[in-house]
Amino acid sequence: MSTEMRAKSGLYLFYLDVVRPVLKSGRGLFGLVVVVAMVFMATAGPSVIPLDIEIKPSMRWCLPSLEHPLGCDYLGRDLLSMVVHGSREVFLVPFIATLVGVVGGMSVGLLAGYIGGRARRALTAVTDIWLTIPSFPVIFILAYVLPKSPLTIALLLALFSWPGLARALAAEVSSLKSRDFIEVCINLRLGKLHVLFREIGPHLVPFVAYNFAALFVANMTSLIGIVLLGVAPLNPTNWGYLLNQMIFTYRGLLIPSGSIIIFILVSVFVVIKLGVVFFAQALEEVFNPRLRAYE
Amino acid sequence: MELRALFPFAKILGRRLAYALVTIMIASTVTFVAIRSMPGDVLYTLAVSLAEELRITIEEARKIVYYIYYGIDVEKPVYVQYFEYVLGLLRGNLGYSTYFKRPVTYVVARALGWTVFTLSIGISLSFAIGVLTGMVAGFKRGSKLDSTLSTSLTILSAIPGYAIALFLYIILSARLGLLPARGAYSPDVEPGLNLRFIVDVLYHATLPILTYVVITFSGWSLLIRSNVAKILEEDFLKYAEARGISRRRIITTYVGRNSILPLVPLLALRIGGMVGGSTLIESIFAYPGMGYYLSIAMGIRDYGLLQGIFFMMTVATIVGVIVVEMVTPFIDPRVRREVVTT
Repeated sequence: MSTEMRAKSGLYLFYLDVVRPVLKSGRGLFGLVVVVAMVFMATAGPSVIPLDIEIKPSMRWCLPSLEHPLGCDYLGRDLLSMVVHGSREVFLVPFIATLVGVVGGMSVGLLAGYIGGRARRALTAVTDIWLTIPSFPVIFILAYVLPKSPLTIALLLALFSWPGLARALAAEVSSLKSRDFIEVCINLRLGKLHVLFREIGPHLVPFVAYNFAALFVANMTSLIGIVLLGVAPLNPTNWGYLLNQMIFTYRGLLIPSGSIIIFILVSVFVVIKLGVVFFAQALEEVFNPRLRAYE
Repeated sequence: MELRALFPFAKILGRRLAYALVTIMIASTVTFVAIRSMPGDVLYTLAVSLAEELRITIEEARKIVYYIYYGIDVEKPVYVQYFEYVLGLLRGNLGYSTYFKRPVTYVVARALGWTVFTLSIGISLSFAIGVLTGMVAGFKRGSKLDSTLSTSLTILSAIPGYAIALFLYIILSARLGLLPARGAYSPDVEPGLNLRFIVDVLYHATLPILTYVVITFSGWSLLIRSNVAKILEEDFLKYAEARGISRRRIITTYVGRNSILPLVPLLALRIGGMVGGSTLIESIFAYPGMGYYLSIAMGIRDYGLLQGIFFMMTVATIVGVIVVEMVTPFIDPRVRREVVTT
């Protein structure tokens, strides 16, 4: 086989394994579009769409038009520009939180599941206890007291991102451990690290990837919720801050056009959440060919 | 009941109580740190007004403020302060609310009931509705009904809870005026065990309960759906059908029970999130539960109330979790056996 052909078949395999499963379902395509749009919004977005800071009383709560695709906010500023400029913080803070949380959850979960015995029971107890603490008020209170920076908020969110994943992973690993192929590996003296990372690890990739997406959207909801209640005023273009101003300061819900604008802003958020979850589901199919075979 | 049959319950209860103690320690540490590191100006203002009132120096007034409001004696070493603070909490000294000018226990006593009332009904209803819709979708999997149901449920579960609360508020309360969204009962109704009061309380509780149900039932439904779909593939089900067991029994006992049971531990784990989430819901509806007072405490920087309510929220969550965990061995024989063997 010539090098050219090999490259071609590699590309074709990539198409078969990655591109086709994502594009085949409507949901996967939708998710891909949303994720690409998110990346574009947070990176190049602010330089493409200038921040509209001009207050135009006549344009307050204006409805969507060609000039203002998402309408205007309570001060007559273009909502799209606010959304784009706020997106960096709204995406980045939950992303960091999720990254830290997933790494923590994986460490605890893998350790608890793989070691077993007393260490497992201790780690499970810590995880279970952590899960009973009402996370939202803790984040709330600490966000209030601690220095207000995006990183603090991200770490606070991470503090409550790990236990759910750790618990599920521990169960998953201990069930994998009792499978035949792992027994074979252990009898072949393949080494604990090899078994954990080369044999068990790959089976967990789809699971962790899906949890990453689910946690990311959950953290995004929490972040916007915290800012919405006015606890942690971060960037004035943060979507939570925009909602806070629209709802509580400018009483937008009592005005028909205001309700529509608030509805649009929430819809943007819902579309993004759905897109991320659908994208993760499509990726699950990429990682797990068995899911594809069912259809 | 035999004494031996009670053993699993005692074991679970013992473990849970030990967990509860640790959780309470963590919660009290969080509030202690929060009090100690709160912006100085809040306590300073309190101390100044107290100093003027009692005609003492500000330094003395500051000590009194710490001691009266939080049971903390600032002259002792930090670990003694912490220890005394925790002991005070366990004795029921939740601190002092600067806004209501009363002990926090007074506020908590009035608020706790409303939160427990709406949340417990909301959680039970949403679980029941989630199970029903999930079973329907699971049994008809692959059909048009299933795909419409699961798509709309997925979309519903992506809408943040506070947005659902706000839209229900606009539609049902502000626009149509169908449901009240302020307070737990009308001011002109005499609280007590009379029919008018009970009806009025239920009427006022409808909007928060409806919100809890709409927010959470989709999650349960999707979980049940995938459980049902998995169980329908199982061999024991084909065997049961072959044995001629009635369809009704297959649906309720074979599929129903097996798909619901794995969710019960999850229910215990979600209670904490629901209690925390009530903060947003109750403040949107001005429903006088703990979450409402927590958000008030935030707004007016009443740190005493803040830490007291948070502590009570943690306790309420722990109690909820213990209740669910105690029920589990009753409904799941496997848990009974597992507890005995480990």
